[in-house]
Amino acid sequence: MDRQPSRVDFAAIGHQDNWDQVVQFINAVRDPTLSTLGIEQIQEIFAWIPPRVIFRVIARSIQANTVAQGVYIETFIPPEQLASPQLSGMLRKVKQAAACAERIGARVASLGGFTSIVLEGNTNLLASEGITAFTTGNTLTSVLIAKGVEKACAIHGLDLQHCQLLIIGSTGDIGSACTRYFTGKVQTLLLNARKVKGLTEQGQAIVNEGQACEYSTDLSQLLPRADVVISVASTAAPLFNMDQCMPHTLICDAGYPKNILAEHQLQWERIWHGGMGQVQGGFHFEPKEASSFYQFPLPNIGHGCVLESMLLAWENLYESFSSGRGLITPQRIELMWSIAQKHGIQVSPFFNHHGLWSSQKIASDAGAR
Amino acid sequence: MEALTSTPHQHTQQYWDLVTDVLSQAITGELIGMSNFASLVATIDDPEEMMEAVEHADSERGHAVGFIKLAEKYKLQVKVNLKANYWRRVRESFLKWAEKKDFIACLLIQEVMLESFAVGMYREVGKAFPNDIGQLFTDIAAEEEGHLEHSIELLKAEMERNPEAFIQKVEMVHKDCMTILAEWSAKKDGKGHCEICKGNCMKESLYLADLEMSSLRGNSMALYLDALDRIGLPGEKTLPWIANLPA
Repeated sequence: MDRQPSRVDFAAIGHQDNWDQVVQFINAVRDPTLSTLGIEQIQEIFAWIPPRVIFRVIARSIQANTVAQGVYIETFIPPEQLASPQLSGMLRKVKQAAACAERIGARVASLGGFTSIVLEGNTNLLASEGITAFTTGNTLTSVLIAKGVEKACAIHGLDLQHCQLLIIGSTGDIGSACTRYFTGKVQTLLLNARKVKGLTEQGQAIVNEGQACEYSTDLSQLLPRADVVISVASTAAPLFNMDQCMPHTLICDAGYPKNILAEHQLQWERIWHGGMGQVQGGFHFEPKEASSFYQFPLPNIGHGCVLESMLLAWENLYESFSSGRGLITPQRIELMWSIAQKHGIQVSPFFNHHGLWSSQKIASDAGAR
Repeated sequence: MEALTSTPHQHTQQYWDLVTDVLSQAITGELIGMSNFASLVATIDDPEEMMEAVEHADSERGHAVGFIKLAEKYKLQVKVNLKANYWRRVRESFLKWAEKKDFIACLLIQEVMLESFAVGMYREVGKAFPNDIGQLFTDIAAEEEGHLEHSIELLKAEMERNPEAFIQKVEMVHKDCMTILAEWSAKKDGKGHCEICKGNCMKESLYLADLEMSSLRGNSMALYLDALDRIGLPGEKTLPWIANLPA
């Protein structure tokens, strides 16, 4: 029988940031008649599994007849390895995952979370045979963060022009994109990063543009003054305590893994997982059990980095849209935003560990009616 | 026993008991491989492939002889038992498919599943064991890798011919044979003593050679999955197979 191999328009390469999620997924794919595997049993084997496609994604744009077929490639990087200073193991897995994307003929692949951080955005490090264009996915993530901040401010009646906006991890690829985007749009930019040199250079450049800006590697000096916080630091686990924030402060935690220590956050309606988008046309997974691997409070929600390759596939734009570091300009953000809107990717309704914001629940219930 | 340089453990009887048990497992495994390749001949029509199978059987025999000679050199009393718990069941699973003259299934068991375990484990043992013992494991791992590579090309063509039927067959063979290998390589013997180790299970003393069962097993499984990937089996199909194996 002559068979057509299934088309792969896009791939999303990712990793898990906690073992609970891994345990849930492995047991979901395991035969239900067998006993459930515990975390220790799964840890014995997980890291040894080579990167592979673990489910297919069929995604529909709101543009007529525009459907993209994609795959999710799990790197099987153990969550604790994200904190390891030894990057070679992680880099090897990312390269294997990229080879997997090429092997299956994916036309564009995005690099989620640490898989692009470990490359420092340098997609050229991935030995490509020219089949797959690799994109970090950072442009769409930046778009969804920036537009999300504007939307959250509108919901809470904050005027950005009179706000002090703190960006944690401001010198990273997404952090610097947000910094550039909000330059000229806020009262004061407060910038925080780990390395003094990069931070100083960035801060000076912003000041030279006439934007009020203060910067420090000491977060505690900036937090008490921030009206809005964007956290996009590359932390292997939640690290930042928001106790010093003012009661009205809005916090966008766009880390992957998350940056903010959840137990210290009392204002649940003021913190959200940023950089997330909702696909209006919808997407589904094959096999269905895979949905347990990627669950959010509402359907059709995904990380910006994951959605970027989907979007590029809909747009027939098979290129490394996001590559390198510090190259995401406000113009690129607006271009990506217009493509996203054309295909029906919106800022996700706001949610955090506790679930949807109540205002979003009301909107979602109304939409359902 | 010849004096060897290195760690304090190497001067203990426990350490040499471990080396003996590992050699016993390796010799038994190689002889099972030899028998399997010999049985494979009956499933082949192509004369060249037939001769190649005999050659592979002889190669496995050669590996067994190499390990036996090492054991003799170090005066280690190895135990060879082709009827032992796990190895017997591996052989039976192979024979079941050989009786059906199913060359592809036999190839999967011998050249993909068993060779993945041989390469994965020998490589690690080769690095951990001293002098000519380690070297022999390393050399044989390289040769077994050749068998694995040889089968991948053949099976790739089979996968392209009829993917659905092929995937179904691999799944059946996987359940048959990999379940046994997973039980054998689990941290603890789920199905009883292996009937090859002299005293307690050798897994308990692997630390003496800086070896870990999870790493030996993990490396082997990684090679196996990598082989399945290269043959062209979809990763989303093979992941549940691994998740279903005894832990």
